Amino acid sequence: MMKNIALLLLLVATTVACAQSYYVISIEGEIYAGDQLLAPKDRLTNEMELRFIGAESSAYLMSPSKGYFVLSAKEGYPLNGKEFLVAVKNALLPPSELKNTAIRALYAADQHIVLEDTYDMLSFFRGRLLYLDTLVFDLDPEYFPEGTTRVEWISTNGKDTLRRDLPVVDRKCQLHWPEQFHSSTDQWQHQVVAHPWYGEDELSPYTFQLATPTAAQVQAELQALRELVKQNTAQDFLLEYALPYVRMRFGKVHPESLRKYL
Amino acid sequence: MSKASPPYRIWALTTFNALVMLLITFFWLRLPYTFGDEAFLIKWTALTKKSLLGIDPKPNPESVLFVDISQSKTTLDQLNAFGEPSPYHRVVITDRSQLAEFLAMIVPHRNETRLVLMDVLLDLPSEQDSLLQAVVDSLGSKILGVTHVDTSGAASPTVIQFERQAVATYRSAQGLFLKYPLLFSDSLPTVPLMMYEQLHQQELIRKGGIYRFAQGVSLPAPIVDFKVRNSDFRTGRSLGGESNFTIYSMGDILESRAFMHPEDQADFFQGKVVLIGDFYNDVHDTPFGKIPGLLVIYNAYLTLVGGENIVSFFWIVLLLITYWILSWRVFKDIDLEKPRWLVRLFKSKLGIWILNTLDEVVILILLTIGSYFLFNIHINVLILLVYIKVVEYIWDSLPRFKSMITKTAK
Repeated sequence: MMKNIALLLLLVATTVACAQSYYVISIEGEIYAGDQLLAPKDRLTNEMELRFIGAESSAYLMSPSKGYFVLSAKEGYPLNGKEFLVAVKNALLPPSELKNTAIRALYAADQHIVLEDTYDMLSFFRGRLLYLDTLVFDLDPEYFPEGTTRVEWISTNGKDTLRRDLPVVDRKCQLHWPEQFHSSTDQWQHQVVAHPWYGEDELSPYTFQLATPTAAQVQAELQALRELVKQNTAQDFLLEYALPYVRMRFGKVHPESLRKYL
Repeated sequence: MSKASPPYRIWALTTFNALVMLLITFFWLRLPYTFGDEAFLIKWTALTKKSLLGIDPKPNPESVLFVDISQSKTTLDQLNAFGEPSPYHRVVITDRSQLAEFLAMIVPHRNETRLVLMDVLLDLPSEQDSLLQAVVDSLGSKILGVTHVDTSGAASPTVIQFERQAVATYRSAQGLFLKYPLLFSDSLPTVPLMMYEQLHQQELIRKGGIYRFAQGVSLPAPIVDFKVRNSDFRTGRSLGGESNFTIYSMGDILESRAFMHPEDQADFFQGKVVLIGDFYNDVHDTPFGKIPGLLVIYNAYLTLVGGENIVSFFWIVLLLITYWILSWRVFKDIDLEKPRWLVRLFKSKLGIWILNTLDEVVILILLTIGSYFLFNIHINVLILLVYIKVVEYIWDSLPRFKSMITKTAK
């Protein structure tokens, strides 16, 4: 239904310039070159005409001779030609800069993991994830509308396979891994599949593993670390030490999950 | 009845003073650095001309390829306090195997590439040096390497040998970049000079302290006019002829080998000057904000291409006329009439002195604006202002001499 409405916003964008090649770096929305849906790494030539489906569609292109380009169905905003006025403004109101005192700037702890599309989902559910009492993630409601999204969780240890649907309630999806499996010596491999998108886009889910230390173990290790680094502020400790340590030791983690262990 | 003083005395004095001011100008322009206080005037005259008036010629973006290596790093184990190699002591260097891979992409297009400048200091040995050296040798004179000047004033040796290598060092006062000398310490050729000599078949001749190209006498350390600035790098919004200044990540170019057609890969290099450097960590304070070192070098090169280092006869005439007017004003005690409201504001002795100084300040500012707008050369007004005030003070302090020069018939 959404796509049918979007098709009504069909726009003819441009014909690519003569004798130049452009390569697609990334795409938002749907853009067709002829009958072909554009994808990253596609090559555009001068014979192609682009059609943008939906007002929000845009493509980021690279030309080896002319630089980078953004083609958008929206009207382009003016190029920055106001250097003098910007200089006057900066002279009167100097811009302030954020200065990090850590080597790597981490995201703020009040950001939690939001999966905006299937690619985010692919990227997150991969490798090792730290599982504490539960694993919660937010799904972007625009991409994963509650009524039509079905998230399936598949776990296998080589002998048994468990398949269950994860309910999506208020945008949140929750994994609960039973305690009886935590101390099991079996190597459980998991996958999370989002329907219908994975099937439609022919995506193959990656496999991830759940690290299941006890809460006491995590707390003890974080406390020892905190004493070592002598970091008094919980927020700073979380961002600068706890999060990188836990990621290295156990796997990816929802930052808010660690807060209660500090 | 006393005899009228021939006017030529004061003319001679005025002319002599104007020539001294011209010499001061050349002396100060010759220095490899200048006052950071000049940056204000340099910045705003340049912005007025370029941004407000739109007089901002730029090179063709397709004539240059900017390649960023800030994400192509690796670490090198260093020696500990005991002189033993230690994994606990590391420095971050550019990954030389990736550099070698990138340069290997250029080798098949060597003849079509104008020049490759590798603004990477390769002073520490690594295991990939032989790999990189082999590719550098393949490029021969097409690649220009860099070195820095150490505290003793000599060029630091590098572990990779280049057929052509230049110094990428400048002097600055107050941490601000303003000038790039053609020869460091009057002896070591710098990168912009070598780029200019190689790409334009020019040769700098230095004789008797005077720098000269085929087109004429050159300033030894011109103030760089920033033709390409951070604001010129943008993402295009429409295809069809538009080209943009772009910084390509070296990693992206290397990865493009997997999907890009070979003839399109050639477009990266054909007919271009390839500039390789770190655009995010190697930044310098300039009157136009923080600018990557490689862009500073490129703009210094463009200053030479534009001939803004060449001393023009008409530029000398402009300076001489202005200095003559300033000097005449001092020696004839000519004060411009100022508005009463302004005079009322400056009642103290210091205030009156400041008010009288405004005349020279205005004239010198107008001179530097004119010099820049007409000849693209900034001059140092601060030192000239100080000089002319000293002359005025001395002139007023020697009434007898003054009287002898200026006495008139009664």
